[in-house]
Amino acid sequence: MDVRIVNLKRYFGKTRAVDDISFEFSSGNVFGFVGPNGAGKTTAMRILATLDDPTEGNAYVDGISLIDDPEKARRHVGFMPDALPAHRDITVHEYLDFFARAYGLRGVKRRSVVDSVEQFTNLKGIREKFLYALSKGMKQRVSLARALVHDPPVLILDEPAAGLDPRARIELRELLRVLADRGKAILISSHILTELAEVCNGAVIIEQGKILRAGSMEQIVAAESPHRVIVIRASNGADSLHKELLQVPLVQEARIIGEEVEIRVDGGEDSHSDILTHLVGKGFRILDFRQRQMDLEDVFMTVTKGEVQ
Amino acid sequence: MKRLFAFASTVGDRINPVAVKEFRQAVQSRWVSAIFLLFLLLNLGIVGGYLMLSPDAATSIDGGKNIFIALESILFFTCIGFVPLYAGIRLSLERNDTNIDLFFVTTITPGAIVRGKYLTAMALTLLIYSACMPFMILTYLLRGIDLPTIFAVLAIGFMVCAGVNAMGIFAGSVSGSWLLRGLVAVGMLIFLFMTAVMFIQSVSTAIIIGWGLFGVYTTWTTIGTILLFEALAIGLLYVLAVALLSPKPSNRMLVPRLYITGTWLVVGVVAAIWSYMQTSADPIIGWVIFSTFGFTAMMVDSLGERDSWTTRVKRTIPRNLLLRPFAFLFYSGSAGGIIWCAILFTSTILAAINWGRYLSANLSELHECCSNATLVFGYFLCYCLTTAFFCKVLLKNINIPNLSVLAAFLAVLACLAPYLVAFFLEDLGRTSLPWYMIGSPMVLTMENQAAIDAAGPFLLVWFVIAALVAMPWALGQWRRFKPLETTNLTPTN
Repeated sequence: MDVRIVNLKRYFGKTRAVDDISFEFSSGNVFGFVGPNGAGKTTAMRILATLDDPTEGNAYVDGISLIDDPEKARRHVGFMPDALPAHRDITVHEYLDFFARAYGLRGVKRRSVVDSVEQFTNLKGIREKFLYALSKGMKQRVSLARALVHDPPVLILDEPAAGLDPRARIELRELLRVLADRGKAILISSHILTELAEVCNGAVIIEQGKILRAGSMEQIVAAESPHRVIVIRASNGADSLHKELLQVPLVQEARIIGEEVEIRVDGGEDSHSDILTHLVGKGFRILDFRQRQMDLEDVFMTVTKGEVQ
Repeated sequence: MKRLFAFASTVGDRINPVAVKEFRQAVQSRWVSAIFLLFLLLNLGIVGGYLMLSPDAATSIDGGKNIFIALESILFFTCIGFVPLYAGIRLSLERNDTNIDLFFVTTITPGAIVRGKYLTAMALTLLIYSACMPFMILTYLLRGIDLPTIFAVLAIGFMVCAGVNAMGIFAGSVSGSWLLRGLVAVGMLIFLFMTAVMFIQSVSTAIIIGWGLFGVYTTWTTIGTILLFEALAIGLLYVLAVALLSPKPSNRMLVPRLYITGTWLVVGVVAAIWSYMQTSADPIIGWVIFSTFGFTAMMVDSLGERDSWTTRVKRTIPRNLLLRPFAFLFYSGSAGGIIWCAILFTSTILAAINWGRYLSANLSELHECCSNATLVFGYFLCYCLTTAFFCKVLLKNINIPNLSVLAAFLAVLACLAPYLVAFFLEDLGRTSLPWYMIGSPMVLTMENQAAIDAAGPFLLVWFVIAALVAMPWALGQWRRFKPLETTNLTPTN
């Protein structure tokens, strides 16, 4: 099962909420959809959930167009919005039962599916509670359960971790891992980039409706950090260390951060031992020497400008 | 017992999912409970108050009649004022663009959504009716009214509720700006108020005359005709609501256009039979008037439809060159829609005139009706073609959302503006036609034959020019109306 977004555009008057974006992801993968507020993430996700129509472009789930054949595609897509629409007068179980009926599940199968979804999302204890009486975290669980009720191969999750406490966030992360292991293709947007980085195989970074970076996490990070970044601390002090490091031909750039010096170096892992040998030879007493991996947050801060339309 | 549960489970599965959800929410809704309790309290208060406080409760010969009128009014205003508004507002809120209800992304069909909503509205109406039944029957014991009249009035009231519930759901299915929804809501409230007033008047007449009224043949033919028209209207509201809920890329106008064509034919045949039996052209005049209003409204609405077709629609366009022109008229599309309206309207006028010749009864009235209808439709056709020329040929690079709403607004403005100018210039009484009045169909209201005579040639010239300049737009659509090429079936990057 693959999801392909092809030259998708959505304009609201002069505002280009989504401006010609294309990317793809497939089964068993969790794909992060990252961008500052107003970048166009929710608009794009609403289009993928068939809740909105694009100005131009198309999106395909297993070759079925979400734009031309939304009814057919809906069977394959589960959407979790950033907030559960307000529903009074209906309990958690009734709500899930309704969606199971709406997706055509009947009799014993419907009851067992609703039961297992409640079990999976840990809603058993609150199934008779009214929706309006639930906390934000519980509502998010109900929303995820609703998106899973028809067992869709593709999940579109818009800010599922927003407003959750740390425990609920960890539980959600575990749920996502299990779902990815079960072969779901998951597109997830979030502002908590450290958590997203832990669970995602790939990501799309979007700003002002345009894609800035897209690909696997390794590709994105590699694209932003062609040089290795090494952090060194020595007992001789940061200033003298900084001065000495600038003399080493392998070092492209060096800067002092507190008591440490961060350098960017060319070459493979051999360069580490060369630099270390050089410093020891010059009498430096090395207390810490480590390579720093650039993460999604670093890439995000590097490529985005925080501008909104 | 197991079998009973299994049967109940099977029945439960067969019920429309939207209806199940709506029933559950209605049963648990404080708002519904409050209205229901208030209704019961009013019934109890009126009957109890009359029995305990009225000095002539035991001796009056028409106490039951008076109580029945009071109870029926409360019942009717509860059903007509609460149920359609409840159903309509709920659907409208679920259709909110910024927070659309997620059941619209399930595989449930738009038809099932409308049927579920309608079923719930009718069940609520039935619930209110069943609650008032004991009080209604009690009025028989209080004298002044017979049981057949009670049941007949209740049944007619229920039929009216069936119509207004469909109206409420149709109004709720309209999406778009709050202004548009507000206008629809105001229109619906006016309609509900008029229906309530007409119904209460009819009920009063029925109760005064009593069961005798229902023993007359014409009463039943009238009721039968009204029920037929109501059933057709409910059907029309249903197909229109389904079309409004259907995805934009779908061929959503196909079913409404087929339905309207069928209804137009059925009503025409019924009007012809009725006209033949009465030897009067009045039913045909009614058909012409309804057709004129209907096709004029449909034509303005068609203007806002698509100019090109999505892959899913193209897949269904007939390859047969003989069938394709028919598909062009019935499929969602602006030019096809306008031509479809024009063809059916022209057919109406030709059929009416020929029927008049055959019948040879009140011919002058029929001819006057046909000529006025032609002028009204002609004005709107010219407005639509002119709007199409300006918005889709001259300014085709500017995306105008809701073109049909804009066209309707401009048409109303064009109708009223010259009339208002004439009113303020005190020109309305002039025997010669003020030049600015000729752009509006309101010219027909001037009782100035010279003005009406001048309108025909003016319209003809306008129509020819507008049709010629809008021709590239219509031809372009016809050229694009082709079945999907097999090479385009697979998506490409």
